[in-house]
Amino acid sequence: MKNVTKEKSLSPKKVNEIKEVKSGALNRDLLRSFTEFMREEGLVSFKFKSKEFEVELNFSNSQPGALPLQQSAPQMNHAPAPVVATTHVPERNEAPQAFTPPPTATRPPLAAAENTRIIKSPFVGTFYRSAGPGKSPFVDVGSVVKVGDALCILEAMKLMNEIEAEFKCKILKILAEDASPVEYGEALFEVEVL
Amino acid sequence: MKKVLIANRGEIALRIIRSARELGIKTVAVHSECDATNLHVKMADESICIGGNRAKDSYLNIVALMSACDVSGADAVHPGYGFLSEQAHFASTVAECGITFIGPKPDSMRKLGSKVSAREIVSKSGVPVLPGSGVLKSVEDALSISKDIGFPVLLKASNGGGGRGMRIVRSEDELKRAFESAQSESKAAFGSGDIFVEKFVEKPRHIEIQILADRYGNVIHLGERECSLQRRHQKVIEEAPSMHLDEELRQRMGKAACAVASSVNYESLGTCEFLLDEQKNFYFMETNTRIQVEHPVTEFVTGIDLVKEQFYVAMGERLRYKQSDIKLTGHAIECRVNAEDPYSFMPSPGKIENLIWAGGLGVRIDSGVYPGFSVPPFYDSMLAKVICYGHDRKESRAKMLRALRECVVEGIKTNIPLHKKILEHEDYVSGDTYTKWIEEKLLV
Repeated sequence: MKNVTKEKSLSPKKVNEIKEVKSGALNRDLLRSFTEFMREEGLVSFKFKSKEFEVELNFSNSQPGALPLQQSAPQMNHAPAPVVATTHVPERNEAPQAFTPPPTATRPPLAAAENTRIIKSPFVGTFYRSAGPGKSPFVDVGSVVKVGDALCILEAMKLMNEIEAEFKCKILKILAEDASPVEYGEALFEVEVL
Repeated sequence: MKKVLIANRGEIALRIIRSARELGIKTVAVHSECDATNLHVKMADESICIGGNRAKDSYLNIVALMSACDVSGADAVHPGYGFLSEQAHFASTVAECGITFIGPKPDSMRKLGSKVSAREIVSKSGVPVLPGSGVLKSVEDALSISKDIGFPVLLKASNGGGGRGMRIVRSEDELKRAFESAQSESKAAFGSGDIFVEKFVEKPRHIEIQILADRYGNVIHLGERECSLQRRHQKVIEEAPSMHLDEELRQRMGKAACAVASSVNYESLGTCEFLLDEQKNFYFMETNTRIQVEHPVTEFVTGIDLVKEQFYVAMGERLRYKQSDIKLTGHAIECRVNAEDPYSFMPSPGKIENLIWAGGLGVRIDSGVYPGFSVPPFYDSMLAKVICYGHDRKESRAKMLRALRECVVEGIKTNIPLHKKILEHEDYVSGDTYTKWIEEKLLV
């Protein structure tokens, strides 16, 4: 879908910079909300383009200085903080206690990167997490599904199609928004193959 | 009309977006996976990937197209040309979903879609069709019908094509032997000995008439396009007007085309294709119930935006022109630039490393490609249409030769050398070309 491009990388990049291609209305607050968004969604790479500016953010594996916890234990269960070139280091403010690890609930475990797969939409339609309004979702983060279990509903032309798991896996991340349109090939779930 | 979904790709999708944008209508591009970097996807207001690379998985996938309409909230669909543009069941599906199909009604498409049914309807309207028969029962049957039609005649395999089971018969004496050999060849090639006979036109010219109709019964024609330069039934160069038509013949053919349209309550753009023989008799061949690739030449000589007119008709407006308003001024030529080897005609997909198009007064380029674009192997090989317009044929030809020299396409092969060869040929200048000319005269 056009207008916002989210890039996901299964192996964290080593690159340690923000590339500001144009910076018209880009400001610190907007940058902060981008980085928060990335953290929540478990992204390692993010590009955004608007009329005023373009920006690209890449997570780094090794951030010198800011979080000593990372230096001593590189295989942490969380995505490292992004580094903003030159102007500021927001993470100092957000992680005042160096020994407090950031929340891990929405981060993909780095060690399992090789077993991670993205389940994509097989056709264009509307994505629903549950069988109906008020009903509980088919899967949540952490759910373990076996072959044939329903993952979600894709509605196309008023027909509700249950999308089933084709292999045993654990749901790591739900990538599409409930009740929103998805296109062919759009990422729906990030899963760990079991 | 608020939002149109374009059920197509490449240059025609871009063409439709341009007119829609000028009319303030939002655009939705749909695309296959490999077409995500297509220019029309970038230009549209919204885009949706609808399926895999094979046309049947995407551009011919009606369910995916309708689902895309659903999620985008499009209230209109423009089918472009090719793909589903002449499939009546697609037009009816769109209509049944309460969406406006920018084109004729399904019923008109059905009636004119089949060659056989079209011939019947058309001859009832008094429009000449190429005289012909049904399946021949015997040599005697063939002989009596051939005498009625008048020699020369062409014996053709009912179930065939590609020239097999075809025999030109120039006199009664030749008929028996030709009939027997056509029949056995047809049986061997297609498994059926059914043959029929048709008037044979030597050196036929392909002249088509552009028509435009609204839903209130108003029909006008916008003159002709000369499309005799073909190879394997694919048009290579088109122009308007044709040097073989005078105003009287133009109006007669135009009237005939309008009669065909009226007989099926036609709506929107359509093109009636005719064969013109050396005596300037014209015969109806078929009607294309959609916009055509070569529509730009008509746009240049009439000054009318044909895609916009499609939108107006679809929005329920009356035709903005009377027949007397339509005048052909100047001369336009279109060259179809394809990604193919200019000598072997082998397709040449791949990445376009460098691209510079011609420009200047009277030069129009309709193209969906750009530098760095990779031409996919899944669809037709047309890269661009180069269209030139001048005060007369001499000027537009000189302009086209100049423009073709300016065009730079690197990384893939194109048929630009073929276009130059055609335009430089004395037969092109004198107009002594016909539908088989490229194959029989130029490439020999």
